[in-house]
Parts: sequence; C-alpha cells; structure tokens
Amino acid sequence: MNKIIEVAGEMLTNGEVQLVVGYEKGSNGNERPAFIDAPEACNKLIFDGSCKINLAVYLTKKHIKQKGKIAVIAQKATLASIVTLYTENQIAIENIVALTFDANSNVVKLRNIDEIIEFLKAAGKSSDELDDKIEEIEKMSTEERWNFWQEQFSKCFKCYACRAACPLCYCERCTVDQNQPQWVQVPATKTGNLEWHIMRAMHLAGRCSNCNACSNACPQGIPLNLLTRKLSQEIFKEFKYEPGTAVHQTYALSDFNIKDKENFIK
Amino acid sequence: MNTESYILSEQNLAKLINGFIEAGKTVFAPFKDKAGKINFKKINDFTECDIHYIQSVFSAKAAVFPPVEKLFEYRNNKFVQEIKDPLPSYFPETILFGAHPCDASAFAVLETVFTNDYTDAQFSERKNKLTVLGLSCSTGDEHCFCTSVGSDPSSAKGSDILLSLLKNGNFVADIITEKGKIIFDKSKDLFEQSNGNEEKITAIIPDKFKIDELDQKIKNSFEKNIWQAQSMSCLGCGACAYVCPTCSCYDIQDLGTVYNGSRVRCWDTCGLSQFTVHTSGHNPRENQGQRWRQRIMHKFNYQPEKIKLLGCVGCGRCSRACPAGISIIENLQKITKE
Repeated sequence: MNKIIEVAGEMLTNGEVQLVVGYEKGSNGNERPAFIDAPEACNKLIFDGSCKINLAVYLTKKHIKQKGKIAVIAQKATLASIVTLYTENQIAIENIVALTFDANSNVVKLRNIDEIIEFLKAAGKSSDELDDKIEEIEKMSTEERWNFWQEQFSKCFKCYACRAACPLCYCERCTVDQNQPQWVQVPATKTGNLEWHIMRAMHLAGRCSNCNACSNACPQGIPLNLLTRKLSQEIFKEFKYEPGTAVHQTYALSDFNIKDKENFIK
Repeated sequence: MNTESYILSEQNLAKLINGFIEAGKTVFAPFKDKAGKINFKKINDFTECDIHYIQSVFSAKAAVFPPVEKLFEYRNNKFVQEIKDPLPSYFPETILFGAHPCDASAFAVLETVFTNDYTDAQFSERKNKLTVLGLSCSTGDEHCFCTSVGSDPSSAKGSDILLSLLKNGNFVADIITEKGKIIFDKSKDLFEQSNGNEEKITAIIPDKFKIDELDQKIKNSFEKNIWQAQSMSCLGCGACAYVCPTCSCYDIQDLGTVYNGSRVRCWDTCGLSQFTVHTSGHNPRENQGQRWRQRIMHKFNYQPEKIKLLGCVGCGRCSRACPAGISIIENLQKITKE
C-alpha cells in the first residue's frame, strides 16, 4: 500500500505523469476512483484488491485525456482492457503508465503494450465462482434459463450504469441512442430490456475483460457478467481469442474467414 | 385536521393490508428479492413485504410516475384511423405501504411538477387514487440526510397515515389526512387507543450541512469550476436519477409501426449525454460537469426558486446507487464551504 503511494508520488513529482488514476476510500467505506494531480494528495491512495471499478473506463474520457500523461492503477482485468483499447485505437499508449502489483505485492510499472501482455501472460488465468454459476445455468432447461433471464431483466430500468462502467463501451453514440433508424426500444419494456442486454453482451463477445464492472455497477444487482463471461468462453472455444494475450487480434464478430465453421446453420 | 394517534399491532397491520388486497386495491410495499435488494412491488399478501429496511434501491415514485406509461394507442390503415386514450378512471385504488418519510414527502415535488401549469391527467388520477401509509425510519445509514433538507425520520409530510415502530413490535398509527381517516373509519376495530407515551424507535440522522448556507452559496456557483472537479469520476449513467424519488424527467417514444402502436412516456435523465442533444447535432451540455451542475442546481436552486420546494428529500439513494461512489452529501458540503 505504502509502495503505491510512494511510486505515484514520485511519478507526479518528477513529472513522469500529470495525473494518477487510482482508488480512495469513499464515504460508504467502499473503494472509489480517485484522480490525483499533486504528490501530497497521494496519501489517500488505497488498493486492497476489492476494487469494483475498472479504471480503464476513464482512459478514453476526454476530460481525463486532457490532463496529459496518466498513471493508472490496474488490476489484471484493467490491463486486459488497456490492451483491447489499444488494439481498437482508442488510447495513446505512450500517454499511459499502468501501475500494478506482482505476486510479492511490489509495484510494477508497465510502460508499453508488450510489457502489459508479458505481465498478463506471466500472471496466468484464474477461475472463480462465476464459472460455477455459468455451469449451473447451463444445466437448466431452456425454459428455466429463459425464465431466469426474464426475471433478471425485469429488474432493469435502463439506467445504463452497466454501459457507463464498461471500459469497452466507449462509443460516443451507442446503438440504443440512435433513433434514425431506432434499433432498440428506448423504454424499459420487456422487449426493450431484452434487446438491450442481448446487444450489450454481443458487442462485448470476445472483447470483454471479465472485470465484472457491469454487474458491480448495476443498482439492481443483475448478474450481467454471466452473459459476457459465457460469451468469452464461447469465443475462446471457437476462435482461441482471448483479450489481453496479443495485440491486433481480429475481433471475432467483425472478422470473416472462409474457414469459419458453418455447422451451426441447420 | 387534528392528528389522532392509535396503536396498531403487527397482526392487525397484516389484517389491514390484506384487507386492502381483498378489496381489490393495489398495494405497493417494500419487497426483498433473491439478490437481497429492496424495491416497491405490488404484493398479494402482507407476508411478502419486508418493512425492516433502511432504503429501497428505487424510490416509490413509480406508484404515480411509472417508468413506462402508455399515453395513447393508435391504429392507422385503409379503414380506420383512430387514437385511443387510456382511461385514467380504470387506474386502481392504490395503497403505498411502508414508504419512509423521504419518499412520502417527494410526492409534493412530483405533484407540483406535473400539475404546475398544466394538469397531467394520468399523474393526477394516480395521485388522487393513492393513499400513503408511511413508515417512520427506525434505522438509517451514512447516506441518509433528510434532517439537512428540512425533514426528519418521523416526518408525516406526504403520508395519509404514518406508522412508527414501537419497542414492543407494535406500531403507532398517526391519522394525518382525510384519506387516512377514511381508512381508519373503515377498520376501526383493528386500532387500539394510544396512551400517548409509547416508546418509538426513531432513527438518528445527524445534520450534514445547513440548507440556508447551501442556498446562499449555490445561488452564485453556476460559473464556478467546482462542477468539473465534482464530476471527475462521473461515468455518465442515469442511476442517480432513476432511483431518485423527485426526478421527473421523461422521454416520449412511439412503440409500434405506422399502422398501429402506442405512444409512451418513459423515464429519462440529464445525466445521459444524449439528453440535451438538439436535432442539429449541437449539445448545449457538452460535458459531464455541466450535466452534474444541472442535476444539483435543479434540485437545490431552480426548484426552490420556481416551485418553492427543494428538489431533494435526503433519501441518499443516488449515493448508494452511484457506480463511481459519488456522494451527494460530500459534494453539497463542499459547495457550502466554497
């Protein structure tokens, strides 16, 4: 903990970066984003691994980019998001330093995309209880599964916190905000909610960094991460695509290959 | 009318609520879902509701201002062109049970907005048919600040009957309005005489700021650069407005085809970047700082000036729902200290 305060403070003092995007303790005791531009303010930085927000979401924001060079405190998923944002030409990587931690809790500075990818490879993959939950849902009958999601989506009021918290939902004008033509119903109706959540999950298929920011952001606690995680699994199974493992990978849903399997067409 | 107080046991409260349901009334009450989230929902039996809660995720405003509401239906073809209005007279008599004083007092703000210069028929019909059985707060948390915006955890504002939990598990029922009196008169046998000195369990909500100071400061803060700083972490979603009991902005949308469909109004929010986009493409509120300023100024400056009511009831839902952990109390305190 003290190490991150020290490193961030140093970077601001010697002008290596102009802004540190990290976490601080919020008034409800949870971690929340902190934006620090003065070395003496680095004392409030905390990192205890329970951070629910993926700070990569701020790297594409105009008012953050304007600050200059940025150090961002990154968890594994944040790093994977940075790689995808880089691949999709959304960030200038030379303006970003990712601060993360090795297995001994030492601060590691990652200054370019190759270092990030190397770090992620070394860190390896870990499974969590979400995979078990997906298995549980897969065991359901089609009808049970449909009812499960209908019940979940019925709680949605379309506040779009899931979209806002996602580092990869960076579109300036989302499909749901387009009205000529209008692709998706605007009101939080049964159809509108279903359309939105299917669309969101499909647009993240194979891009999602599995940071769980969407479900953490949902005021209603809808487990949206199950959808994106499931699609990540599918994309990996079919195309061996995994965010954060290489740059310039082709994004499964926008790429055409003559060798693509067509056995799903029945 | 003079407030009369009675004692209502939990069993009799259950009888009262189930009586409404049996009589065909719609009863909205706090309901805890499988994920542990509390929201107001139509219940079919008293046992479904959970009244020992601090705050629901969404407010109770949907009882009068549903998230999606049909304004009219249309048919348009070779043979028929017609527009069918919904008949507000079909709206059911509704009981809102277990809403805390913050939610109950928010109806005054909504009512002023929806009936100020034009009487919104659907809102008014819903509001006229609504009876509020409020529930004083016996607990609160760090996000509650009703005492700083002119209310308190046992305020009767907006309630027709106000229930307050007693140490022995029973409730004191204060009959506040004529609507409340009608309910009392119909179910007199469920209420017992109060001796006036029962011990209520009332939440303690400390003062977070002085509203007069905030009022003085905020008047001159439009051009200050506090808004950008405060909204630095704002992600630009609509969670704060959708959970808010007083936010009343809506969008109007057509669902259907050229041949048939309906026009609906649905919640909208100034937090979303698209909210103010003109047809030309110009957006007068081009950054999140300006949108955040609008939200705060609307509630603490424009509404007090225009409708003589604060646009905030201190429920703290916005702070609880914010994915970026933005605390309204903290930011209002900062404005006060500017």
